[in-house]
Amino acid sequence: MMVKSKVGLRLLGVNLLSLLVALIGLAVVIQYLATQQILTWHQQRVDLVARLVLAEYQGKIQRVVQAAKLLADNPTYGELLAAGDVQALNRLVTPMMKATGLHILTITDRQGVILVRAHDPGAIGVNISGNPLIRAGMQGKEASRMTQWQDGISLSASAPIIFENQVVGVVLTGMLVDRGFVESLSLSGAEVAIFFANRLVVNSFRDLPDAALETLRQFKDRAAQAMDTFKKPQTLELGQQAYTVTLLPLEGEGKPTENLIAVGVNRSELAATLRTLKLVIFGVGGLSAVIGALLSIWLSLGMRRQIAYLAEGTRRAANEELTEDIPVTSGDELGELAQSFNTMTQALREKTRLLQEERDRIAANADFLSMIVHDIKAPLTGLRLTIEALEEEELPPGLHRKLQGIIQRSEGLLMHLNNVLYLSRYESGLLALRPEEVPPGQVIQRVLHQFAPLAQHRGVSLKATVPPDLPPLKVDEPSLERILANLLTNALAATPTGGEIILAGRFRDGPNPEVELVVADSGRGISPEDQAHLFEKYQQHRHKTGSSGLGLYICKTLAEANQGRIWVESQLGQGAALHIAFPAAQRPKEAAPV
Amino acid sequence: MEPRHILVIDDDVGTRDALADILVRAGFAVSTWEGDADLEAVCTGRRYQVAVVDFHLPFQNGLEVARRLKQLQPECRIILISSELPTVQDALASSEAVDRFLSKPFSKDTFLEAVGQLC
Repeated sequence: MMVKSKVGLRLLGVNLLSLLVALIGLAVVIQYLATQQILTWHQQRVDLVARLVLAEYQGKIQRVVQAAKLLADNPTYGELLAAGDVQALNRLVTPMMKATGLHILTITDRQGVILVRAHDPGAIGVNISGNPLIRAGMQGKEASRMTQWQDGISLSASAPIIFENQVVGVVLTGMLVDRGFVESLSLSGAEVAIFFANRLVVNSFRDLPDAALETLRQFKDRAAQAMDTFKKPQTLELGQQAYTVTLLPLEGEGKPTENLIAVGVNRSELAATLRTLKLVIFGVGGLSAVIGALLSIWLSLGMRRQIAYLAEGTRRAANEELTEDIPVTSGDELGELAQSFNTMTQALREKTRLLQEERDRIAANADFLSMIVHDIKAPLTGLRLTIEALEEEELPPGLHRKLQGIIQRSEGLLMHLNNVLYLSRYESGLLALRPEEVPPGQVIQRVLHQFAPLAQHRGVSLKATVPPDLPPLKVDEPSLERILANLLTNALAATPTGGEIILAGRFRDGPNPEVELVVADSGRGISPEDQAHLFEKYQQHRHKTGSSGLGLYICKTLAEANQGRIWVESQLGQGAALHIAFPAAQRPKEAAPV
Repeated sequence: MEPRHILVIDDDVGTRDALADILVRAGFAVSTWEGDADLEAVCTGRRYQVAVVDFHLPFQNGLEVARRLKQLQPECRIILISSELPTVQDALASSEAVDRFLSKPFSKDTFLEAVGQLC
């Protein structure tokens, strides 16, 4: 049996579709959540990097401050300053600049006049007491700050040189905030830019065009206006690259929005991560879908096969072709259904077999009866023909009439035999009715011809008053003949000598036009009580002629089998009229216009 | 004028004799055949106008006899007689040898009318 199940396929389709929809939904949700998480991690990382950069920056300041303090604390410097030995001081201090990695190393006297200038000996003798750091040192205080230095800015610190409790000079140290400086601050993947006095002084971003620098400035300006954006890293397109940029104030007090450090982390790494994430999520989702689909197909295969077997079985059962059980392929409810189906069809087959046996038996009975009737008819023919041949002989008076009586009784016997045979064939389904257009005139002439000798013998007038334009009937002709023969036999039996039998016919118009034939006798009539049971099987009727009562039952059976009807109209003492009506095969022809 | 010759074939002796009797009275010359001799022998030397053949013969099917008769004497007209069984109707429909069918039992008048029409 071919496995071909539309329901199964549809079930599978629904399964796969819901699986796909669920997976896509899940993948999108996971993708969204994971992206959010990764962006959060990225921002946290940017934050952390920014703080590390700031810490590094503060470490640099500490170095500058430490250097200033250590140099100022050297007692030799104090002594040399007090003694005014500038040359010796120069010799001692100049190498220190290299050793400490400083860019600026200046020593002034207590009035702020430069005595030693390790990085630029040219400016010796200049009074720089206006410098806030020098001023602080002259007042005996330490100080540090970011400051304008030449074209750039520097981180500078000052410390007083004290000799015998007197400020004898000031040490000024500094480190230039240049590209090297910011590069030393930046970690891998992170770039740094420093704003001083609202000016972008230096940055470690590579190959930034002017437009990108302008973007960075505008970002800083916006951030400075709304302080809270400091906390929120922003995405900026700088040149060819995208960065997540955050801003941190360099000094906690004073002008936090003027001196700032911007830390940008390149997003290319992030984009790659997000791309990988997307690939992983949808890859795993797709793989799950494939595995789910395969599992679904595998699971539904058994179900589909069972459904297909059931469908095929039902189709065969409907066509009465089901000669064997359908296979039970699944152990679930479908399998139980298949088993019930098999049980049902087994019972059905058994019933069909019994029915067929019953039919065969009835058919055999009908055949048997048919043979018996045939075996009776053959000698009956010989008997009748012999009697008829005898009639030609010279016979004593009265014998002729008796011989006619024998012939009529043999006719009656034949009618009974034929009735029994017809009924048996009809009831066993062997009687094939062939309805066709039958002109009523022909049939009526035939039966009149057949019954005329009998009527004559009984002294009964037998006439037909059928209009010549009566249309044909739609009926099985042998059935019609049998009905008329039975009706005439009954009428003859009921009509006394001198009576009359009229065979009439007429067309009954209506939605279902009919041709009605009537056999009316002038006999003793039928009482209403008898009329009620007239057409029942084995009813003994008004004329106790030894009839089995099968005749009218057969008439009714054959009439109804031919879509016709039969009824009686009678009053006691006023004869009886038996009516039959069959569908008219056509309407009566219109009378030709005069 | 030579009487017209009728061949009657029926295994039932009563029917056969009655048919022969009726035909003789009606002025026909009659031969009967019960299947005891060769059909060819019965047909030799005589020309039958009509043959009356019973369908149910113990030795042979009436239709087969009718077919052989037509071969031997193509001019001979055949009346098949039988009680009306559906099998006979079906067999008749497929046979071209039979000219007339009479359903048993039939009356003398019916029989003579049929013979008269075919002669």
